[in-house]
Amino acid sequence: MEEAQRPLTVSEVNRAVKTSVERSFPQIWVRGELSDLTVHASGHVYFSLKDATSQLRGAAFRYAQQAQQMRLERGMEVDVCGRITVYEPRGEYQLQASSITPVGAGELNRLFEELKLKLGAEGLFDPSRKRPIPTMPRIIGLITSWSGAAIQDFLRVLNRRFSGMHVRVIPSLVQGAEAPPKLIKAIEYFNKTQSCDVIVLTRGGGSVEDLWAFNDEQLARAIAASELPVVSAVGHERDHSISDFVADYAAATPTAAAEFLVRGKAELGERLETIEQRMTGVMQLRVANLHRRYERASSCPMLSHPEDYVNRLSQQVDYLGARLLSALPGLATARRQRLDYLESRLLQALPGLATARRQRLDYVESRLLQVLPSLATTRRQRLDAAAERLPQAMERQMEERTHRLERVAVGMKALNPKSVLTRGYSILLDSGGHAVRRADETFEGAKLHALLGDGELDVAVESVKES
Amino acid sequence: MEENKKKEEKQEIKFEEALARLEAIVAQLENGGLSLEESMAQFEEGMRLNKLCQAKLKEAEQKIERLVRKDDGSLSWEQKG
Repeated sequence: MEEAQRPLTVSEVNRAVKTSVERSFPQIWVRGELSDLTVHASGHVYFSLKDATSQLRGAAFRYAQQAQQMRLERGMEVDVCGRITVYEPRGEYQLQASSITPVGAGELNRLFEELKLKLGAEGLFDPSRKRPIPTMPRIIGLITSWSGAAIQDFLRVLNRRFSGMHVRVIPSLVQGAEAPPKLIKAIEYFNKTQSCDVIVLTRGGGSVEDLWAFNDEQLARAIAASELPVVSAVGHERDHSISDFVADYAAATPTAAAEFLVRGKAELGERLETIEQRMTGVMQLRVANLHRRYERASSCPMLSHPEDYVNRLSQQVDYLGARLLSALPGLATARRQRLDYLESRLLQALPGLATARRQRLDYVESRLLQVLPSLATTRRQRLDAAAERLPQAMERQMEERTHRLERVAVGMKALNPKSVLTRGYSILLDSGGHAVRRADETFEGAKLHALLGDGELDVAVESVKES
Repeated sequence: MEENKKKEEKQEIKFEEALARLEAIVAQLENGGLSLEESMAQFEEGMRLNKLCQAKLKEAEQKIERLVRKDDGSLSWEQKG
């Protein structure tokens, strides 16, 4: 400075200070209280750090997102890493930060990791320790704040899925140092009295500090010791608590916990619907098959025009009878000729025996002539009897078949909705012609059409009561 | 309360029984081999059971109770109105 023959300019001083300061504080770590905090639209963050007696201005460029993530607020104790820079135009120096971390959060984070390691090493998080959560709990034991959002969300979802759930609530503090002993007591009460099937430990979202009660070591041990299975649902999806790790089931949110607990009922509802579809499907197929068989059977000629069949058969009988009768005289003549021939041969061959033989032959001849007509008569009678029996047999068979058909028809009639109507039921149709099966398919004032067994009615809906 | 619990248990078992019966009926219907009259009877029983089960699932009464400490210091479940 001795060489300086002239005064320094302001700029020269500031530049010299800048060079000197920035060389001296290239990397520092400062702890202090955030006394001022502005997040600029540009994404830069401006703040002041202070302690009991002094203040330091600072800036963190493009730090808005991180500041929000760490929930930076005025009054917060923070650790800041950065360097000291000088802003030449104003001759001011500031702490240019590369990171700002809340002191408490860092500490909590460390405690969380330590406890997680410790309990994990003890085997408290082992999958083999997890008790199964009942698929259809009869009574749900809820431990949460009576006035919080969690209980509202939980009950709303439970109600939406199934109205008939039984929930027992033990109101408890869910944040602050008083909370863990209350939560533990509630778990112990449910276990002692066995007054529920599953315990749900829940609270809505909040800051790390708000949720801290669920990272309590004693609470974790109480959950592990619980005889009843425990569901933990703390905060939002991204929040994890020690209670989540040690519980038998961790739900991301109170809503998710409710969904999980009615899963069994939901599945049963679906199973019942499938069964109904299968039953009606089988029956419809069956009826369709019977209907087809009935159509086929009733279109068979023997059944549609039975008299034709009988007529044709009796015609055949007449024809055969006639043929038989016309053949008989010819048969007699042939025999006669044969006899004449034998007679002439006999007479030629044995003239000596002529008389005796002749007499004998005369006798045979007369017998033959007597027998032949009566033989024809007998045959004719037997044919007549057969012709008479045939239609009778046919009629009997017809009767039997008609009987069977009638039985099929009666069975089919029972499937016909119309036959149900005659028993006093009625079908309601809406204006579109669709059957109204449930109360909530129609509305007050709707005009409906009722089908009865023997007629139809136009009716109006006065009120709708869903059951 | 003890009685209530027993009653609920009984209903629960009835539901399970009904469901098992229902599934047996469907299997029987699907296997065929039943006369028309028999399968009509089975079908009717199945539909009745199905309705019963659905109603049981949905129509059970909602109940929300809260643990309160009474004046004498004892704890009891109080129904939320």
